[in-house]
Amino acid sequence: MVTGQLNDRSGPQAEACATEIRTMPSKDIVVDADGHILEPPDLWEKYLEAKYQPHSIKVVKNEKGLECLQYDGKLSQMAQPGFLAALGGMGKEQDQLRPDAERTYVGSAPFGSMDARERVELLDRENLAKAVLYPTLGILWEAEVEDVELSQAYCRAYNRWIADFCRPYSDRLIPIAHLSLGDPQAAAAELERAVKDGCRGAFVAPFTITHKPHGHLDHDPVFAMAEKLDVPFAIHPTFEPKGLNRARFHGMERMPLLGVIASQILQQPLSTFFQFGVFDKFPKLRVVILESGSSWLGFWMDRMDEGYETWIGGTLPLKKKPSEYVRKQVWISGDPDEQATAYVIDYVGRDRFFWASDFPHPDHGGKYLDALERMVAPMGPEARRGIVGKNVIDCYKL
Amino acid sequence: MLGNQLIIDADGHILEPVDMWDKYLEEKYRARGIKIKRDDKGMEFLEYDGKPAQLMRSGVLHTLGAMGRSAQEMKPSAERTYVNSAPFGSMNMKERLKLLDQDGIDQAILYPTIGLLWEAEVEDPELSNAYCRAYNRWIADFCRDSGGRLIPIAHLSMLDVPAAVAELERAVKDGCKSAFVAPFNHLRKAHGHPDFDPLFAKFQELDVPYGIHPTFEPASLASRRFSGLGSSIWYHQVTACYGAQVAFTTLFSFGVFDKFPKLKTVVLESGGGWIGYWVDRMDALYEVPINRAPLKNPPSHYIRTQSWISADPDERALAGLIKFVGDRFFWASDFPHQDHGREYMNELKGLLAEMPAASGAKLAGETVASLYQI
Repeated sequence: MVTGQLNDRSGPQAEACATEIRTMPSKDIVVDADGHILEPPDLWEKYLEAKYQPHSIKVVKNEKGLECLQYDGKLSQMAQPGFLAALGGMGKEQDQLRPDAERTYVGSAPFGSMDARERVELLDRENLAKAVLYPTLGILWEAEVEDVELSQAYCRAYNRWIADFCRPYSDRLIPIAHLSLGDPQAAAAELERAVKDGCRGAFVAPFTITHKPHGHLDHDPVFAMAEKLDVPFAIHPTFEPKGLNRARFHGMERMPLLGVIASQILQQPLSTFFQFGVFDKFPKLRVVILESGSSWLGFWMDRMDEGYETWIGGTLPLKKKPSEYVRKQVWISGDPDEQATAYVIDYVGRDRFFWASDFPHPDHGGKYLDALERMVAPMGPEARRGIVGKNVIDCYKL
Repeated sequence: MLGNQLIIDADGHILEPVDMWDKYLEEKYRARGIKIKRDDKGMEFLEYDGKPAQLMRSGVLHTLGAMGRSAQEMKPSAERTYVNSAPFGSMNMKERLKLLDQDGIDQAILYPTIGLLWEAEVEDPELSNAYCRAYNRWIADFCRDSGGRLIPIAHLSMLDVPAAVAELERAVKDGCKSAFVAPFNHLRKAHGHPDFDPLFAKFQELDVPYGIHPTFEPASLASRRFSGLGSSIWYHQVTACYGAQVAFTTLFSFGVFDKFPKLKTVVLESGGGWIGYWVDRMDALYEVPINRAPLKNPPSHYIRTQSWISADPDERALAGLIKFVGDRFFWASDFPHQDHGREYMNELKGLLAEMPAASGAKLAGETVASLYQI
């Protein structure tokens, strides 16, 4: 394992990585299926269309000097003051993540999190061929912005920016558009525009402003467009409106380890694709499940099939049992510290799995390449080649 | 069919007799018992504490024993009743033994049916405990002369901890081999909450497993993620495992396993194939410095020493996963409930064929026999 501390940063305000940069020793092509960038704080002010400028996303300081997020003139209730400086805190200790007026979003951003050239250099040192990129602030605001028109404008601004950000390194940094399903026609139009502009796929949140299930036929225009453009449609976890999952017990928000229900959060939207027969209507649609673990997919196939094979299956508009669609039209991105995945990959399908770094977010550890090596160690060569990079290249046609 | 190995159904159900609560409730609660009545269309409905059940519609009690039936047979009906639709082996002890013989099963661990329905709609702690006691006395009597082949499991309400502790002790003395709780309680107090420590202490002292079994749940707990899925039965069926997963996780959140290092926990009827992900993800979350769980060891340690999972026999992902998680699994028929198929013995055979013989023998019966000491 080659390691090295990076000192020759060019990003003027960027911090060094909290953890050493590792290198993935692999002859196979290695692709990070879900890395993040930290958007510039003025992204929306620069990229929003003029009429929405007064309603922009902004980073402001409160009376204690702590940074806060502001959407449409209102302070975010979910992103606590000072939280922004922790967003690039992968590998840091708890005392380095506490709110502190001295720490800022930009000042705490690690090498490679805000600058495209730096990110490519990071990939070079890690021996990664490519990184598929997702936002950071962009996965926070949607839970608190109920204005459908403004949500579309926020998405368009991010999508224009990420395409520009990746453009000089389009073979290495893969831009993915953010869509909001609140207005499916607008989302379909934006997908078409964004893909023409360079985006290689799109993601949506695991919830919708309208509360319509993802598979609902009102969203068919978006699926039709993804199929027509031949790009994957992904679901990525985001901040969520309160009360969607944690009503069972008082205080669940603060209970340790309850983050494990990330699987449930993505299983729900995924399952609605079967409930509404989306895969029969769009047989070339490719659906990607992100940042919610991966070894549960075999369990979910079994469980979906089990219900299908009783009388309950007769209530589903499906031509085949759910697992058959999974093996053809669904991919899943796992955490590299998932050891169980190696034990289900032959059952689910060696061509179904990706891995992802989640860099630079603090909810995953910094030694993701060490973890990836351990993850793939028990796998055969075909499974290993697929999960480290080939599957994401095939799915996204990179 | 499966050779000489021990085969134990870790989670089968019985359909309670219609007059069970009338006979087994203590006299002062009898007027408030669980009853099956008929509406003006002649359709059966359930009544708890003098009020018609809201979650179980009129005319569908006949579906409670409808394993393997068609959608056509699931419709509300005045002709089909709870009792006349009960399949062979679902209501009678001797019949159940014959059914086990036909299936090649040595023993069955038994859970209720109506007992899984009422708790969502009864908020009175005193009455809830009385309902539990009545069921527990009845199931112990039902199994008593089965020659040790039918294993009674007590039902506990979490609404009054001292009462639950006393009832667990009484039920175990009366023959019950374990007890289960629902994945929710009306207090919305997490299962791992220290207020339940006396209950965990009693489970540990009596050396019987603590089970979490899915039940009907109050509508207020339903996921508010999507609207318009009210009639999407399949969707609700696949996501019905979430409550038990969350309730189980809170045992780790509150450090229950360190406080009660001999406590044995069982998650029932929620599938088994999710636990590999749970091992990985809980361990990863345990390493993140923010809001760390109060545990001496990584969560996977307690899964591999103090937790067991009852899986569905058609879970093909298990064969591989068992090599990672270890021999923590049982299989269960869910007979005679309609949300699983009747082909459970063939499914079990298929699953066992895919795993090493030693692991298969454990999953088929050895693990559950040793855990429940039966």
